[in-house]
Amino acid sequence: MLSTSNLAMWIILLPFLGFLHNAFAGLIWKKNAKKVVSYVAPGVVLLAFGVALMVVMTELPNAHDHRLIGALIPGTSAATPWINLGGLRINFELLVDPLSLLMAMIVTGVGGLIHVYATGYMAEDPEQPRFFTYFNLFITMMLILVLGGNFLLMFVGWEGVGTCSYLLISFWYKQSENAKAGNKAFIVNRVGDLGFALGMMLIWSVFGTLSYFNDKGTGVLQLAGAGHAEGAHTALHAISVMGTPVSVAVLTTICVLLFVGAMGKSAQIPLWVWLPDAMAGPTPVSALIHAATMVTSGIVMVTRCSWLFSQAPQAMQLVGYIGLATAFVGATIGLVQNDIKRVLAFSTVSQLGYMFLACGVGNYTAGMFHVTTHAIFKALLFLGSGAVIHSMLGEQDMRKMGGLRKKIFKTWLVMWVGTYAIAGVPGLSGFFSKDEILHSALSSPGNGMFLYAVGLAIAFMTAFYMNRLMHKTFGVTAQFVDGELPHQHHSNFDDHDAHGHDDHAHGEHHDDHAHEDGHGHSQVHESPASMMIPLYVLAFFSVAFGAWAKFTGAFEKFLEPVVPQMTHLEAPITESMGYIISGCVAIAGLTLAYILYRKPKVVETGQLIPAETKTRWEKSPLHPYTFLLNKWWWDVVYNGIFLKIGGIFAILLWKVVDAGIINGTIEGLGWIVGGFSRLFRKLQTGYVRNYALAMLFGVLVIVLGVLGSWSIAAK
Amino acid sequence: MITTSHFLVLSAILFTTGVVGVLVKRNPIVIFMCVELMLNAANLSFIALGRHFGQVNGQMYVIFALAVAAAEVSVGLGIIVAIFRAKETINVDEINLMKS
Repeated sequence: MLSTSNLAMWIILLPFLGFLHNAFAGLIWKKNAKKVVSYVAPGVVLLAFGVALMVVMTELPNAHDHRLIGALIPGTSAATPWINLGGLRINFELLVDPLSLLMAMIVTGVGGLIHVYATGYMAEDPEQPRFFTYFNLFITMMLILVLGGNFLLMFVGWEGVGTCSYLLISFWYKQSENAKAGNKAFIVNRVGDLGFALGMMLIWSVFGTLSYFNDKGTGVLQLAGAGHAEGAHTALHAISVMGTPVSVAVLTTICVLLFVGAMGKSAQIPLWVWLPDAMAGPTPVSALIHAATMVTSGIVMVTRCSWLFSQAPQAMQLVGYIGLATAFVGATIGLVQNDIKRVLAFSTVSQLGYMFLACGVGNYTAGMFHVTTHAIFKALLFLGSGAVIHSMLGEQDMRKMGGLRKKIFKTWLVMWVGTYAIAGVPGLSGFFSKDEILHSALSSPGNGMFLYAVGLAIAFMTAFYMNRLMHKTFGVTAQFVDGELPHQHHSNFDDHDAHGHDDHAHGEHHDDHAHEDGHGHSQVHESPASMMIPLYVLAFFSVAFGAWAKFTGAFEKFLEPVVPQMTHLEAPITESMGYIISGCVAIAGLTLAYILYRKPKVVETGQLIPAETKTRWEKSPLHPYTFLLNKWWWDVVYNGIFLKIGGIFAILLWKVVDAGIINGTIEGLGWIVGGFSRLFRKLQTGYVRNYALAMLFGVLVIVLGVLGSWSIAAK
Repeated sequence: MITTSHFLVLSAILFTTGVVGVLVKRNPIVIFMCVELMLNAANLSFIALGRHFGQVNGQMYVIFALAVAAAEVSVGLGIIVAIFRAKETINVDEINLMKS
């Protein structure tokens, strides 16, 4: 018997109420809408975080088997059917277990901080209520994704977050490239969603249900073996709803299809191309959706289905190798990018690859650990870069920055913490989570050594490009003239921009974000408190969380009931040896960047490679620099395959199949009918006597027929 | 002796005359007269057969037919007048609005 949770629904409902409020804020509050929204939107998310904490503190410890079922709709039970068709029964049910609660806390905690930050970042945007409407809707959908008690509810959230991602990437839709980036994200994700949907259908046809857990013990994960978790990995075997064993081939197919869905959402090769472009959205969007939460939903889903994956070794190998390849590709591209947000985007791609590597080698806990720490420090880095961009009046190109350390010291400080955390400097949270992944990769059966070596190389590159970002932004000589920065803040209202930002008209702003004009016409300014406080909180956790989780063992113990324990080989090196190696690699990467970017010439120009050399290199398409700058030509290849060849195929379908065959058939039928009409139309002469004659013949036929039948009857 | 057959033959001749008239004439007045001829041929055979079987039904039908024919003639003549007003002719060959 599963315990019930009465509180869990409020984690989802609070942001949903916030969404409704923000959507109608203009109607309710008229001119005060922006002010009210900036309190309500972060408020509901932080309240939801409080509720999630309460569930962890009060309900979870008393739950049987660390698992609770909750209803989605207040006043109903978890058995309230949503769809009840034939054998398909899907309930409005929530699954509250350590995994979903961990994600709920990340989404509402990190998400709440990003909401607070966004109140500052978006304060000047006239469409701020629309922004927070989408933001709260996103939180709602993400919570449905992680808390939903069956695959279909997860799919609702899955699609919901995709929609919000689309809406937010193209938030400033007046610039057509933003709208295009939104389209790209949405369309690439459709490909993945197809995989997810097919996997879901296969699950239903094999297991006869989509619920993870139910009272009768016939939930998908119960049938897959989670119900009797005590046994070792080898003792696991999935059974179908009929009680017969499910073959490994079927399980592998299910897992691969589900993983295709994860590839789309979590930006893995080959469906990763949308994520770098998604940086077209406002920076809080990049931080919340495209770094901290939504893109990790693929890892969450794989972890949720870990009972299935752990019985399909080939699917797991695929997950691991795809993850590793993505991590490598992302890191190499990150080395040469110039847009500050793009560097972080590729770093996200790369870190997501790490997480899948962890899942692939069977250490789901390490994957989720990295999800958690990454959510914290990547949100910190993105928000920090947002603060930099905000200070630079919208400039995103690192070649035009430099020397910001003195001007925005506080921002530099938190970015520095984030950089060291992601690079894996010993003691910070990225160090522990990354090392755990590398260690389990090393001790995995198969090519452990290869996985470990590539993983270390990626860690080295990560450390290098992050320090490169720091130096180019904060370290080298300023590459711009302070006081003459062009205003580039995005908005859908160009007129507003022109007036509102007119050089020294800042005093007219009646919001709380006043540009500091006092210091000799300096435009570069520290961000407002609403933006800095979330950064301090995130920086604190970036430092403290990893060590706390590692040394108390709290994280592993928390997640233990929801993931299968895999058998691992004895690693060739001890854990402390691994710590030393990965610590050295991280420091080496940071140091290399430090040495290179402290050369006098580099400090002066802000560029490691002189601009002329770059121009020369860019002329040959296969030069490594050009190759990486253009993202391994990935977009170009996709354009060729899917846009050009796909376009030809579409024209073929249009001109030949549609216009020729289908339209031809329909119009041919019409033409035949018309031909008969033209033939018989001649009968209508319009002369009365012709009709009268026809009538006469008709009458004669009838009369003769009647007489004839009489005479036959008479015989 | 005039038998029922005589009446029926006469009726047939009158009916055929009416039919031919309707088919060949172009003046609607004449066509009308021919239609009347056909009606009355039918009336004649009704009466003859009524007498032959010694029943009153035949004569009743004739009374009905006369009443309906009178009404029909009034409507028909009204239409002819209306057509003449609109088209300045009543030649049926020129009134071929139904030709496609």
